[in-house]
Amino acid sequence: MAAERLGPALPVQESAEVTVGRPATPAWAPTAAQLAPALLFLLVFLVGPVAVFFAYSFWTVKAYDLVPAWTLENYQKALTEPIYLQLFAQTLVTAGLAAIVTVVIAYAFAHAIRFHLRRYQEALLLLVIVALFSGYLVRIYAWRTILGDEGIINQALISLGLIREPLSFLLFSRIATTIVLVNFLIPLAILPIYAALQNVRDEEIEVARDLGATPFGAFWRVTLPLAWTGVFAALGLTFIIAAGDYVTPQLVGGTSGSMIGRTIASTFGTAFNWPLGAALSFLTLVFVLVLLGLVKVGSERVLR
Amino acid sequence: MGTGTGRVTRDDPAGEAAIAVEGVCKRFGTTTALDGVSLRVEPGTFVSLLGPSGCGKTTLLRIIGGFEHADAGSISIHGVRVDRLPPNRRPVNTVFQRYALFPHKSIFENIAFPLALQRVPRAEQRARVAEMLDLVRLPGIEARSPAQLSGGQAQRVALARALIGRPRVLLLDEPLAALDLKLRKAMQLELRRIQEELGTSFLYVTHDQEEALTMSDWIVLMSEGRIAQQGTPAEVYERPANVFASGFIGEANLLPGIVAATDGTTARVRLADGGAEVTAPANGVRSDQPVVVSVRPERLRIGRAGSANGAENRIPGRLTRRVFLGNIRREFVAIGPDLVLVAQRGVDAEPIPNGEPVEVSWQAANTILLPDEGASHGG
Ligand SMILES: Nc1ncnc2c1ncn2[C@@H]1O[C@H](COP(=O)(O)OP(=O)(O)OP(=O)(O)O)[C@@H](O)[C@H]1O
Ligand SMILES: [Mg+2]
Repeated sequence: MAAERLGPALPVQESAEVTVGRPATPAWAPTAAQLAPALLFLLVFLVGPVAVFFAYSFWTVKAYDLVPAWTLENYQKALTEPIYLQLFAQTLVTAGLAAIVTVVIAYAFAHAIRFHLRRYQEALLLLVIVALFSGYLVRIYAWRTILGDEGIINQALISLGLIREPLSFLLFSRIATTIVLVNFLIPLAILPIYAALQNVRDEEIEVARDLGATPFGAFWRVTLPLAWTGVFAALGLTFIIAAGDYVTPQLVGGTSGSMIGRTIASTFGTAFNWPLGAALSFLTLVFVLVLLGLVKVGSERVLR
Repeated sequence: MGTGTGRVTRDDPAGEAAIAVEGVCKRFGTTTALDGVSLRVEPGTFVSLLGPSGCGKTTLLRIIGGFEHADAGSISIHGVRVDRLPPNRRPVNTVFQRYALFPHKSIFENIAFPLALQRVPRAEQRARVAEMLDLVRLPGIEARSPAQLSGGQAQRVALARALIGRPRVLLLDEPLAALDLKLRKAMQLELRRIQEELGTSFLYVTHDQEEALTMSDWIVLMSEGRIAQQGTPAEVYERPANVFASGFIGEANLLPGIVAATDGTTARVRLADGGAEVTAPANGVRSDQPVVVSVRPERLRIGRAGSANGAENRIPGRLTRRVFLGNIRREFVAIGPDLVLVAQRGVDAEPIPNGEPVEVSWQAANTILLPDEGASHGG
């Protein structure tokens, strides 16, 4: 309408408001074009396989053959058999513990390089990235030699005369699983937290202090809320990775430190029960997402 | 010490300053940001800290606010030494140049921040935030987010947030620097109105001399980490203490020369460039002393050569350029090979064509002699 009133002397602009003549390119078109490659990739390599496995989770197996039976049997089994329930609980507790410990340590590190060690930040971030490259299995075995009966910790404690027998709970336990997961996850958590802390301006913190906030008050009411997207991303990432890990629990977890991932792997593999394996996977995913959702909602209320 | 003359003061039985800075020094590596700064802000006054970029204004304000620690010297606020207190325990608040509103909080939450920290009941918070928004003339914007404000509005919100805790002293670091000229002028008056309404002491940092002259009761002029001069706006404008003050506050023609003769009340100075002689109040100068003659452009008269008027100082020259500034005209007159005087005339004054020979005249009383620091140290 505006264009009509202003008359034909004005050049027709390529904008969504112009209603004269041929409709201009819709505003969403460029965005869609930018998103398309990523969406396509996700569709083919993530949504597709996940959808297939979601379908499997309602099937059954007869004589090593998948039968599309459309039954809730797998979910029923996964949610009633004590062994699975216990594994779910153990998985969520261990992964949650690992994620929380990781995020706390990673936050402290990122906070230190952002606010106190600014001069060394590039070198320290490089170290973080190098840590990401060091082998996963190598580190697990390294921890085995540290935590085992013949390991450094036990031997040191024995030679100091503090204990007589090696502390067997160090290895093959939830503690061992948690320690190894934390060690593996810390660099992954540092990067998003550090990126988020970059967006917190010194002045915002100074203003908070100026207006009467203690150092902790400024952290709780300003720094953490402003960095929360990154902290939550780190929490989600590490929780999901930890909950899905099946190598670490297998190698250092023993019984108390074992997790659902290993059971899912063997259900798919040796047991060839793809439908039950798929159902267990989806339930793990749902539990993880629900927990993260609760954390998200809760944090939005607390951090303001 | 001893700078109380002509000072605007309010009732203050104890006689203690709102802010007392004593001999503060601060170095960053090899740069000396502050070199023995002492100043007093009397309660309820508006004091401007004026100086060119990099002279240490922000550093001094940050030391008073508690964000930086002085290498030497002390800070007292209403008689209490605060040198060892963290920012949250000092009875001052700061308005920063970049207003730094909390982006994750609404305007209400931003302004109520100090009250929320003190766990003031919600109803009282609402009332006091509304009161503050009235004060800064932005009623009813509580629910907006900082991203939805213009620069001027954001600055008013930052001011409201700094004032809601009722500090006795407010520090402001070039709070208007990001605003355009028109808004800045309006905000200058607003700030002054708010300061008078609340009776809070303001220490206001600016590098804009006009702003300092407009707003302040008292101006502290800084140069390279030291105080060059302090006084009321009229004092620093009319009686600059040195060449720096003369050049920085207002405009001035600065003409180097040598004292040819003095009888203690008036002196005659021979200008280094062109050799013309100028009469001025002696201002304590001695014969043969190198000095700088300072004359404000608005004190100069320009007339055709030989036109009679009562001014003691008259120098022939040639009109070289004219700049039209709306309400006034600025004329440039060459009086020596490399010496150009700037004069100011009303727009109605008789126009003289460029290149014409003219006579520049001014009264001896409007001339200030300043020691030439470049030529004689400590003289
Ligand atoms: N954190 C710092 N590290 C090193 N040097 C600094 C620091 N802060 C200030 N300086 C130096 O101290 C001097 C005074 O700086 P300051 O910021 O106080 O100047 P200013 O008067 O506020 O200038 P402007 O008007 O440009 O804001 C400058 O030379 C500056 O480079
Ligand atoms: Mg500054």
